[in-house]
Amino acid sequence: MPRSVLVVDDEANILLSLEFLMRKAGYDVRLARDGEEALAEISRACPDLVLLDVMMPKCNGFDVCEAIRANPEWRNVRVILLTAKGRDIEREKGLALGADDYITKPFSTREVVERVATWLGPSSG
Amino acid sequence: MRAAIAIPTLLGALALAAFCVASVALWQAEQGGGALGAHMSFAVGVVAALFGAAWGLLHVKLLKPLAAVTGELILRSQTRLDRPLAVASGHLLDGLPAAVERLLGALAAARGETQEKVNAATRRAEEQKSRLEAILLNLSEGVIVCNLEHRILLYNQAAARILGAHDALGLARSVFGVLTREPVVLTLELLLQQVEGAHGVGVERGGESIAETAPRRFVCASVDLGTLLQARLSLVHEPSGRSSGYVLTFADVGAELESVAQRDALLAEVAIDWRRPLASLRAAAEMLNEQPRLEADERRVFEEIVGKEVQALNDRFAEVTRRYERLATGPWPLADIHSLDLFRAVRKHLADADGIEVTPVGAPVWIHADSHSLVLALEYLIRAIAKHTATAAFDIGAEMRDKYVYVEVVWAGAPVTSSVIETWLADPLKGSLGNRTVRQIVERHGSELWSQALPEGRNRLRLPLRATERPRARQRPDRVAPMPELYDFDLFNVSSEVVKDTPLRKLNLVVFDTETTGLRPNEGDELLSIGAVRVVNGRILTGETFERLINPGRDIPASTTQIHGITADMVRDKPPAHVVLPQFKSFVGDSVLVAYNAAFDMKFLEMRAGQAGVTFDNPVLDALLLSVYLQQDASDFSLSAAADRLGVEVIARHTALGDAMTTAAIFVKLLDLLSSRGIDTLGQAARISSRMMEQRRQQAQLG
Repeated sequence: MPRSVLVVDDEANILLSLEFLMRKAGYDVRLARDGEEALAEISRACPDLVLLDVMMPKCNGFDVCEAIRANPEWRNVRVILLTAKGRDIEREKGLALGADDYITKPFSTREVVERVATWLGPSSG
Repeated sequence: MRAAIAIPTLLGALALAAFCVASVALWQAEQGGGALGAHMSFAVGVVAALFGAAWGLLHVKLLKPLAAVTGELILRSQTRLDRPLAVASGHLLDGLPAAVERLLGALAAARGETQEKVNAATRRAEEQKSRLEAILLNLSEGVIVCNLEHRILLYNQAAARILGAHDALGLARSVFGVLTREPVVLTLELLLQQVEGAHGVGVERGGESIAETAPRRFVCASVDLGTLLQARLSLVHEPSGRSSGYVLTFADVGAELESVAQRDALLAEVAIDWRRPLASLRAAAEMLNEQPRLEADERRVFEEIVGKEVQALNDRFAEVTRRYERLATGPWPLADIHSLDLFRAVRKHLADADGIEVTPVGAPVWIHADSHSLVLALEYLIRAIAKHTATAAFDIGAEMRDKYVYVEVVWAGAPVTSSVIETWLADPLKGSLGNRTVRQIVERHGSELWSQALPEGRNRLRLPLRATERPRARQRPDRVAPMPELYDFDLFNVSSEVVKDTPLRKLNLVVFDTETTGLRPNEGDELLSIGAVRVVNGRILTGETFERLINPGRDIPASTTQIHGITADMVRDKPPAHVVLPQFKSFVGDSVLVAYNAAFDMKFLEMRAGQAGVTFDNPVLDALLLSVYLQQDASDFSLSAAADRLGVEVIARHTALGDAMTTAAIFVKLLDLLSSRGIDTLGQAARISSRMMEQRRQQAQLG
């Protein structure tokens, strides 16, 4: 069974690109447009990894990350944060709140695929 | 000169006359005409008369005029009298009176010239002085000039006003009576280091090389902690280039921020107030443009509206411009602030207004921040956490790591989630900040804010801020001879079994340091100051310190003043050791005493303890010996070297309190290392100390 990735971003174009990339890499992809939608998706079916944008309306990426870590059932979910700011401090905050990794926007598509593969292992598809 | 011919001529004539008279007398005696005696008597009488006449002549013509000239010379050289030289005519002095007259004239002229120059210089100095006074008087910034012993040499009215005409503000008094010590001392240290560093590449001035240093900005607080001050410190150089003192200028931050707030209020007013006339104007303009078939009288109505609203807008614009110009709106830059000043301000405000107890912990560090808004933001956040989690006690500290200083608020109680913090960030801060939000303040510092769970049900809020460029201990070699180590084997005896088994982390500690007149307690050296800080449960309670200067009752060798900066002047009105030691004892209570090279400091305490009627029989731990145990391969065990190895920032080296703080920070780090070696109780640590002491004693004997 292919590994599942949840992509969360409020930017439709980014969402489209990431969905395409992840599918092409062989993952089972689902999408969410904000933090609340993301948490609803995770509750519905727990993904193996969440690509999570930080700056979003409603519940932001940090909040989602913290919520994932607050629930013991989701402790195996890997979280990679995506952000536009790219400051050390923000990275540190993300890691402090339980994120596994951190990718700065704008990112190279290859970098995203590589990072996801690092955390999930080579895709089976 | 006439006298030169006249006097020999006169004397020659006189001698000739005497010779003639004597010859005539002898000749007459030989002719047998009468007795020889009678002839000789006559001759002698004639010669005497001739001499008398000659002397009279000399007296009148020569000696008397000469005396007159001499008298006049003496008189004129001692007074400013200006009159013609009076010498009776017919004298034999030839050109002398005239020459003397000329000389005296020249003297008077030279004197007049000098006086004029002195007058001019005095006038210039007076002008400069009154100009300086006028500048100082009109400055809105406070100015205090100090010597390197921190005694106030000069201050202006603004200083008195800003500091609230403090009783402690006075000439020759210590500046630390009115301003907090650490920021001033450390900024000064930094500048002096810069001067030392710049030696040789300084600017030539009068043949001397003088190191030029730019003034440094920092933030300090008035001693009563009411006001945070934005300050600038620059060095005063002697003509030789040596630094002899410093000038502190400072302004009350609150007032400056008030004007920022007013500017922001003005902006808000503009945004709301201009909307109405702009709306009318736009409506009227569109009516005129887009409705071509308006009647002439209808057009006129709208044209009048346009005219009226343009006028109204114009007036408002003028009014806003006028008010804007009245505001002193300098940019409010980030500046260096000492964490303790920051935390004390937060503690005071929260204790006074909200009954929330905030305890500053950890070694103090320097932070680069907009201190006023940071204080407001921290107060707001602590208040919000207190309300959200029903907690009333917080620790606040700052930990330095890499290029950041992590300001941390720690509490025991419920956690605070990121989304809750998010709602707080959006809240505008009430106060003098023009409704800035906590988020704006956090972003202004290029920072983020988050909360994390800690062990034992505690939580911490973290705010990383930029660290300040600090003087590093290793840049400044210790110029001090190493402290002699004393071997006192009773030092680490812990008699009570209960205390012996207490875990090190649970101990109530007082970490202290002393400054002394020298290194030989047995040869008359005495205590000069004691500084101490309390450490409880592994937390350095930065707010609970002890710091006293002591009158040693003897002179202070200049060589030691160079090290600790304490002069006879500074301790003259200070109490002697037997008065201070009981105060220290009551600060210490039954805590465990910790010092770096404890035997040395303990020796000085015990020397005067008897006279003071106290005993220091508290358990003692030595941070030096424990460092030796943990870092056997290191060679340098000076306080700075040990601090450096453990990543502890050295603060105010060679002040008793500064060194006590450094020792405390070292000791807290040692606790972790000891624990990893299985040393967890006081008894174990005391045994280690004794063993290390014996080892070092043997090494010293061999070496």
